[in-house]
Amino acid sequence: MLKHSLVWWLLGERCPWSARVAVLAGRWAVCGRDLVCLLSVVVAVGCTPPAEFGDNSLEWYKQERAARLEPGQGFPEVHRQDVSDITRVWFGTPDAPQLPLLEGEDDPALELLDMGKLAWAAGPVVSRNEESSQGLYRRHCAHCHGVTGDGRGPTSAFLSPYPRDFRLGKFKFKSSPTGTPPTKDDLKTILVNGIPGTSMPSFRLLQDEELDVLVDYVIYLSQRGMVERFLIAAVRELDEDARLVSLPDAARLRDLPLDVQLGPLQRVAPVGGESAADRDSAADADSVGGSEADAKAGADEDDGSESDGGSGAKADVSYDRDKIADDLLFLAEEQMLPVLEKWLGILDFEAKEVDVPAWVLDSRDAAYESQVALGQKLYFGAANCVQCHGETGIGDGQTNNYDDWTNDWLKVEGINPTDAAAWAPYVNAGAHPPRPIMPRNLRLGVYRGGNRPIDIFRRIQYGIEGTPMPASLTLTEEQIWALVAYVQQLPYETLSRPETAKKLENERPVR
Amino acid sequence: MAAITERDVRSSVAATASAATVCSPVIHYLAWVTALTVFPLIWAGGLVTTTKAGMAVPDWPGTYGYNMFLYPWETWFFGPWDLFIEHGHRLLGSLAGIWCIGLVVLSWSLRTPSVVRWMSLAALALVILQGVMGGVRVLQVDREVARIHGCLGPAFFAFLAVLVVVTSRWWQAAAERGFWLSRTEDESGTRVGARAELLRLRAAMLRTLQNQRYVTLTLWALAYLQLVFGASMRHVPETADPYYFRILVWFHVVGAVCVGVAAVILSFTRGCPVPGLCWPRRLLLGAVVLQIVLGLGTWVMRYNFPDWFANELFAQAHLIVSNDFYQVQIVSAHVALGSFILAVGAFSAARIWRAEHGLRTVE
Ligand code: HEC
Ligand code: HEC
Repeated sequence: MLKHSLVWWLLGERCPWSARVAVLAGRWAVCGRDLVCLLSVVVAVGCTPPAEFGDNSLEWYKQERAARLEPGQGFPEVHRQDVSDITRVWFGTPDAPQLPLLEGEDDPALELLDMGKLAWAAGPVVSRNEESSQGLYRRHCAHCHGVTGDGRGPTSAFLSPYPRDFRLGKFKFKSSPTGTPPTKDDLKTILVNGIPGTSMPSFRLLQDEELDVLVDYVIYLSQRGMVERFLIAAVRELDEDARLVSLPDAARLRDLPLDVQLGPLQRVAPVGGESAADRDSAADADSVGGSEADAKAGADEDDGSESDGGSGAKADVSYDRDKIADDLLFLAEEQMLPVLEKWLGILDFEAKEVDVPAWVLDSRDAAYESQVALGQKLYFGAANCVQCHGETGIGDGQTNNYDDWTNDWLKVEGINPTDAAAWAPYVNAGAHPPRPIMPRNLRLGVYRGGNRPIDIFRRIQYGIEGTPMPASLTLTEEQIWALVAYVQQLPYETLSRPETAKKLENERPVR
Repeated sequence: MAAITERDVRSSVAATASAATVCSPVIHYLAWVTALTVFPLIWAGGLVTTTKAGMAVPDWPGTYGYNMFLYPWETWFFGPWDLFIEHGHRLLGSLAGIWCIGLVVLSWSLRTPSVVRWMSLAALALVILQGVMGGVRVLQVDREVARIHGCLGPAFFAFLAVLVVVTSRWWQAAAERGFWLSRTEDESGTRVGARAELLRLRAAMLRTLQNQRYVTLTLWALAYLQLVFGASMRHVPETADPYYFRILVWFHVVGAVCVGVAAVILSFTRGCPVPGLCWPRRLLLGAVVLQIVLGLGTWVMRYNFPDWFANELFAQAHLIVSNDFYQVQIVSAHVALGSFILAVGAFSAARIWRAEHGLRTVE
């Protein structure tokens, strides 16, 4: 009985016993340490684990399942290490972010992201002067979005919708079409306005500059996550004993001197982040075992630097510096450039100017009634909004859809999302339990992506990326405006459609 | 029915005279002042954590190279919020420290019961420990220390509440016969002087007091546990697993129910046999109710309404604004009221204990 309720605390969802135990066992390994810390109130110093970018274990598991490996048989451990090392070499650590710059100081990535801003957002929360603090991301966002930007911060499990996982590079509320990343202005608008009806706060009380810093960091995390996913997919294609980079046996990329690691990629040190960088090199020295010394000694393998544990092996590793550099360059071109280029696109992106027709704003306008009537026709007809948002617009149409962050792994094996035993292993690997996404209740008159007509216009025109809400590819702008007008008057519509009103009264949807 | 005899009165006077030395009212007032400083201090500490301003001043015990007390006050007072609240928290903390030093000096120089002397020393030790802990948290950038700092503060506050009781005239009076003589009047105001009757009355009073003490202490312990869970949630490392936080939330919710049940039971241990025991109990009950409401409010101000309200306008239109006035004050009020409950609980329990003690020892 007690066991049962403990598990129930853990999951809080309706699901069978066996699945809960599976999840419990899996999560216990992770939060056991935290719980021990909780109990040891006195000797708890040093319990806070260092912030690190977590591996995308969900993506690994997903690819294992996609490759139809036997249960319990995963990809070789060195493959995981390679991906983790390469993303680390390219993007740095949460305390010392880096960008993979193929063209050194002239790299276009530096037009998009500012190293100084990244350093400001990264790292632990500390202040160097009275005016502002470092570590903005961990101060304001990480408890929901996670240090890695994986949407798995400590508070995330209870929140609905779950905090955004930036690693898929998909964003909902933006002025750009599906498949195109949001502009910096879009992201900043979200930070200023927040998302009402969800736990995503408005950060309008932060300084303007701090918001810019956070926007850059979100893009950085998103890029890092996307590249990591590409690399994992690339590993899937490899033979078991092949490597992404030409390294002998179990040698690790991160154990090699920095200049070898980076290959042709130039490293541009973050400006203004001296202490973050210092701390990182200190951390490096611990975890990698004197990689700094190695970097200075170049590729001198017999420089006799002390060897401890894993790093001891590296002294005897013989490697071909040029070959590694070539491999990394090849990988960067294959796996990284597409991601970066996609994001670079937002530099030149200009949302298409649209004029808001006068009648949308003024219900006394002569054209208004007929446009609303047209909107209604489209809603029930050609645009088929009724399919999801329901006849009354309260969002009680199709309610068994899932968003892309869930479908991404749900679809791999065609898992039935209501079959908890089937998805439990994915939750163990780091997914949130699937929850169906509800079409918006349009009767409330509040919208998450903004209440202005132009906001609703964009939602209908481009859809809401990552959700079932489709882009209206076949509708003209005129028609979309008619839909906007129709949607906007829905909250007041009850009286004109008595049968709707009645239905509204009787059947509020239950989630 | 014979009234109380002269002999009775004389022996009670003799008992008073031979009792421990009376505590000087100055000490009692200073204890009050200290406690009244510590409450805003705790509130400010809550604000520091709520707005995550704890690292706004990177050094300690100085402030940006200045001696803490010499830091230019305009820069502090008109400076950014983070600096204002963190430096203000430190200044208030020092003030509490100064009061504690005053307590020690006074109690060891004036004729004072030794309990009070040792308690004021302990208070000083606690306040120093708490200050150092705050410093270590800043210098080590350690969340774990912050959590312990957050748990120790309210314990210190509760300790001060006990000190206030121990130094009070009430504490003294409760051990005196005169205090109890008037208690032996029944409702109609007639004296019930018969010995048997008196004994019966005393036994009944003792039983009530004992029950109240048990329940109050249980409530106190539960409330402290709640505080530990609360502090663990507020100082959860960003790297913690969502399921860890989830466990904490559930424990906190279950704990809230337990405290609520304890409060209901407490409100059933009716009867206020002694004046000065009723109002702390009522205050405690009111605070628990308010605290539960504030707890729900905290969740809503931080994470919005749960899914059950998905079709309610108030939930869907609710926008969380990070660090805006309502969020910060509601969350910090929840923290501060938690400490307040501990202090009132400790105050109440100390008085009940003393009343029991007095009733037992006074013939
Ligand atoms: C209390 C939890 C919480 C905090 C703190 C938080 N977020 Fe969010 N965030 C969310 C949730 C939940 C969503 C998903 C909303 C949705 O899907 O409708 C989200 C979504 C987002 C999105 C995606 C918006 C879109 O158009 O898809 C961005 C970008 C974002 N957050 C950035 C941030 C940044 C930057 C910070 C810190 C300054 C932050 N968030 C802090 C909970 C939070
Ligand atoms: C396949 C299902 C589906 C269809 C068809 C659909 N929607 Fe949606 N719609 C959704 C979902 C799901 C959401 C909520 C997305 C989210 O989580 O933010 C949504 C959200 C919305 C929103 C709220 C945007 C905001 O900012 O909050 C509006 C307005 C909207 N839909 C209008 C329409 C209109 C008009 C149509 C017809 C052209 C339509 N929808 C067709 C599923 C659908």
